[in-house]
Amino acid sequence: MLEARQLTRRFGGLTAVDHVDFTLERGQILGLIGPNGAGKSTLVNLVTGFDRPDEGSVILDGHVLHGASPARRARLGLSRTFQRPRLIANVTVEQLLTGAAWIVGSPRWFVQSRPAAAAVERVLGQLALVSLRDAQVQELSSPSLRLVQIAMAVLTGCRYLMLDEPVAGLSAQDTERVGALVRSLAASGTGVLLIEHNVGFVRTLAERVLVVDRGRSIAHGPTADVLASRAVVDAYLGTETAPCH
Amino acid sequence: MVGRERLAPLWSLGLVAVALGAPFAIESSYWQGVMAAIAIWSIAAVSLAQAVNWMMRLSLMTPALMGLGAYAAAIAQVEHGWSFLPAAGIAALAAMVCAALVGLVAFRSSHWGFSIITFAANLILVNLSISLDDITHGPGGYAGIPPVQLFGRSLESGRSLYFLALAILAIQLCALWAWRRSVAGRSARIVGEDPQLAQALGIPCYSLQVCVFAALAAPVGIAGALYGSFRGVVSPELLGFTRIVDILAMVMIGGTKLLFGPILGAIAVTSLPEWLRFLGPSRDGVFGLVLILIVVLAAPRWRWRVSTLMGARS
Repeated sequence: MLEARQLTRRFGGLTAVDHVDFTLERGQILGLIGPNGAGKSTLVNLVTGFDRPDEGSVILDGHVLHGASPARRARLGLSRTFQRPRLIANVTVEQLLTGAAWIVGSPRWFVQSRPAAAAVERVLGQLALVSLRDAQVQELSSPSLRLVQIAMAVLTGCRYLMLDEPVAGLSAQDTERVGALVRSLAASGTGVLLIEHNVGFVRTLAERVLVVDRGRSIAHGPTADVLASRAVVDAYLGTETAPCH
Repeated sequence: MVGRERLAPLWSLGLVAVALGAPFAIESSYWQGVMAAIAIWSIAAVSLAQAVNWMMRLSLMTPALMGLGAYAAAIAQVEHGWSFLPAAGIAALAAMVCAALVGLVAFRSSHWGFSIITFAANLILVNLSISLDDITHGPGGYAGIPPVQLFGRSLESGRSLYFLALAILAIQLCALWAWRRSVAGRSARIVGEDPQLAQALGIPCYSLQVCVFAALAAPVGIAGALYGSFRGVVSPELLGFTRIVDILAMVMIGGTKLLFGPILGAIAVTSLPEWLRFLGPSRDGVFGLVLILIVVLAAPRWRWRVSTLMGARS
């Protein structure tokens, strides 16, 4: 189980994350929603070690991750994607994924291990990236690039995965594919934290939702209950009509 | 793009033919010596260019690593009677250990910090090479390095040393070519381009960078050993500031994208002053001007342009 306990981060006078708690079980999908600037990305940074909390702690399978680097956390099974897709120039998709799969199984310096190669093939298939295998990464369209980012994170073989707006700008078909991948990851025991503006996408996938606003956790519970609650509708959705992002 | 890539083997074959044929076409033993120097400097420049390409960090301590290798090999050969190959091994080891130690500190800091720390390390090693005169024989240099003995033959001519350096360069290029395609090489590429992404993927950035930096120092140390055998003497001048400028110019002219790019840089930087010898005292100034022209006019148009070194990314 991944547990965030009373996580707090202040930037000067602003409290970006204010005593937030959540738990994520393996195999579970937890939605994290909230308006822009609510502290969602900061929360993910705190959990994955890209930022240090002023208060609170992160507990991964019973171990308190005090000051562990992001790479160490990834090797312990906690990975993430970034909101802005990262670009590596002059490599093909397959080469990039090979490099990303470094820690799958035992690291091999030269020839890829069989489980790593199989994992690359599987994720290429799941995200319909097979045809782009030999494409240069810098020539990808931005939706494809987003899929490649997700593929890289999946290839760490993590047990807990934080996806930062994985379907922003994706077509309905690609959104569907990401959704199917998230479901299959959860089915195989990965806990997924889904940060999304697309409430519809969260509604179809997440069992539970955490809503943050101005750094505070304002609702946390089963998806249907949370999305129907008055406080959430007021703070995040603004209107009582069907939400759009 | 595809057409160019298909032409790459042809290009390489042509270059190999020129490299092998040149010392037979050029009779002058003086120019054969220049060619040996070009091959030796190419080894160091290729290593530096790959360090820039892989890690997006500019090391300014290549001359110190080369000098360290040269001194280590000289001492092993003169005082302990070792033959060249094991002495070159010691040179590689010395350069690797030094690079690893400096790397442990330098990779903790920013890109600029890295350059400054490596530059400072270079200064310290120059100073040590002068002041530790029990070991290095001081400012006059460590003399009396015997010619390379290989398989019972003595390689005294510029031509034979050229072929030895060329063989080492070829091994280095093959190793780097394989490294680019290896799993760790691809991970290292992610580390260089986007350390945050690499961290999120669990790639051990810091240790990988230190390892790569140390590994790339090995050929530089060997180049130093070759240089010592070639000149017969190693002096603190080999580690000095002008050498940093020379080797940077080689990498800037040759670029960091193509493996063999810095070899073109080494050819230009090593042979231009020789061609410009007729100019007399104004030679260095004209050489500087030619360098500026090459970098400003030619580099942006060349495919092996200096993009990574000059900050512009395609």
